[in-house]
Amino acid sequence: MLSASRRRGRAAAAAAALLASLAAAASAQTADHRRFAALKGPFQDARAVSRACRTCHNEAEAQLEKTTHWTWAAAEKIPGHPGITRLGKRNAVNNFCIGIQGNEASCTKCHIGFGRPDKHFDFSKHDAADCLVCHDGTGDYVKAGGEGGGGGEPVDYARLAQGVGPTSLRTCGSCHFNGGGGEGVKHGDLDASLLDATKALDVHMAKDGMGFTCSTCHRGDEVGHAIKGRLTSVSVSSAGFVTCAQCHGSAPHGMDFIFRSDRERISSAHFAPGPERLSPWQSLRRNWHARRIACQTCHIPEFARGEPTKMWWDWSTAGRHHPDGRPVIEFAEDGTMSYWGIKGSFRWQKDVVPAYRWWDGRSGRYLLGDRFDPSRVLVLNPPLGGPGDPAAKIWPFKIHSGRQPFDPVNKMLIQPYLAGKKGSGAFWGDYDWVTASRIGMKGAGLPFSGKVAFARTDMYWPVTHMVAQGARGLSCADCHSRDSRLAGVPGVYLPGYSRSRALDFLGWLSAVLCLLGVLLHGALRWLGGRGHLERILSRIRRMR
Amino acid sequence: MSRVYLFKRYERFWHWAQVALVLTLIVTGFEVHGTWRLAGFEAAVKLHEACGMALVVLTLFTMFWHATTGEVRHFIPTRKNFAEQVRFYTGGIFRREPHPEIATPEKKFNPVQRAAYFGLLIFVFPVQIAAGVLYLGTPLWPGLIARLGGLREIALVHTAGAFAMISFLIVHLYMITTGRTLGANLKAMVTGWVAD
Repeated sequence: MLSASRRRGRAAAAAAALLASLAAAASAQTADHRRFAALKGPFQDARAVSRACRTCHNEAEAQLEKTTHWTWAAAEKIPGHPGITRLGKRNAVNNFCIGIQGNEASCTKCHIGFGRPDKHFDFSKHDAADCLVCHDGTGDYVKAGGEGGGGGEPVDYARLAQGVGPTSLRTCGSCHFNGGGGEGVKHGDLDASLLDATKALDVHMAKDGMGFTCSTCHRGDEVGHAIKGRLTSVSVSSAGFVTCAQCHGSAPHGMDFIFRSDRERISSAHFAPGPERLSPWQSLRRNWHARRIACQTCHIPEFARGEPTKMWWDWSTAGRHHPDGRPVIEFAEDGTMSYWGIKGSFRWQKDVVPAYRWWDGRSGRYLLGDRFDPSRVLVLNPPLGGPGDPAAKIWPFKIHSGRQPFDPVNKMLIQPYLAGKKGSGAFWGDYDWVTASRIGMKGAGLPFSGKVAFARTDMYWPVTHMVAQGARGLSCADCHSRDSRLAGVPGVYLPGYSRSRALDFLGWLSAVLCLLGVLLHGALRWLGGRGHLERILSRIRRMR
Repeated sequence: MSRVYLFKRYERFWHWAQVALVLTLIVTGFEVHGTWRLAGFEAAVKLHEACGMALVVLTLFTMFWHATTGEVRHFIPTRKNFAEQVRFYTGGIFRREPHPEIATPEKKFNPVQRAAYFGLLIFVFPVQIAAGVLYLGTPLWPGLIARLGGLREIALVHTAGAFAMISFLIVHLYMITTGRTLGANLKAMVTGWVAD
């Protein structure tokens, strides 16, 4: 579908225009943080730095505390569940480290505040937001693990305070590249390879391309700290999605790049338009595809193109450890970790062809405490929508599969107590599923029968980053062929893939019968022409 | 031996242009269908669309030509001599009996030919072209496609038409050899002249 080089010229011009406008914005800063008296220091710790920030940015904390970066929960109407649920990282269950409830000491390193935001945490308490984790411009701030961050090695906090700046791929990536306890574990389309991306890896974030940061797209309605974007790993509605269309429009093929502001439009005037255009007919056809095919489906040919991502996590094998309690660790041939005694067995993959599903942006959601049928694979967040739903499109997904603990009597997933020292009952300390489950389920306020089994679960992750440079997207035959990528996607007639076997059989049968018929006719003519036919017929007559 | 000028220049142009277009449409069409891989899907689609549009244009011109010249009368089916012709194809031809009819500029086709071409031009061609045009212009008339049952239904009709064309072609190619001599019909369609 994507013919090489067609849009390159124009896209490059648009990119340069956008880049110029962004660069202009950066140089237009009116403050040099190195000269603020409040930032001279010395500072005892990161919390003290954040306090100093707020002496000027006195609305920042109030703005932050309204966001899910802070609350880790939002009011959601969950399909199949009554009423409104407060759902978020706080209480969602996944098939990676399962859930943070009870494990806050370890998991909340990625919360943007100080302290441990567990069920005893006062989310309305001020003086707890960590400015540096998002705004460190030096690259030297590392939020420490344990107790919700804030500890760690002493560093020159004054230097960090004076080096603050806008968010960057690195600051956002310090959490979002490492979700699930390591790089590339959760997202298949976000990892540190984006820090020095080429256009082949990500045309937007490439340093030699547009040079986007996360917030170039994930910016909200220009209200401070209201970052746009959500993901089906925790959210079930499509409200607040960042979309391709917010810049490119919904019918972008063959159209001029759509600028979001006059500033961008004016900047673009400095650049000549690209030399090549799609024919109107090709534009029409591609835009027709875009009605029901998500942009990502064609423009992200594979995910995990930089680093491998985790595709399989089997908790049922966890527990092997050395006599001193250290977990056994094993690696696969490609260098990825294949077994870790505290977590189980893993499979990692690179350059993964996505799974394709209809999706209207909404997801179902398994909530802790829901009963399920363990004889079938439990999908924790099934994408909703089908071909009959006009809002649904065919999307690419990473499907993360695995086995995770469940209570076979109560038929519900288990929220185990994982992160804790030896003797605490935590699985990572004592390797005892029953104890870890009893503590975890009690903490979550759920029943536990005392039995632990393992359920096959899947989780869907829409693939949306790592948009490849135009020509590196899919070509027609990736879907329009007998070995179509969209094989099994219902409700769509795909020339080259779809067919009626009965019609094909009848059609070829007709052709073969015609061929046999004319061959027979020709043979009879040949025999007749030499008089053989007459002789044969008269012999038959005589025999009678 | 006298000679008769049976096929005028435009008729021969029409026929051979149609041969080229239909053969290309079959080869590219079955690539689009996924039956084989030759030019690549995208190239096959482009070629198929170009040939299809060319065939539509050719067909419109030819309809105009036949209507204005009155040549359309050659395609009107007739019962006269139909049975004799069928008997010839199923019997006489094996005994080298003479053809029941002799082609003349006033009556170019025998009754069986008339029936076959009439069926092809009145039924297969229009259905095939209509389905092809609907298929081609899917983004232009989505409502119409939906009312007709969807793209799948149109594609299946178009596929069925393609199979009908293949079956026709096989028989048609063979029937070339059933003239007065094996090569007489081919020669007539190339030069326009047929030996009487």
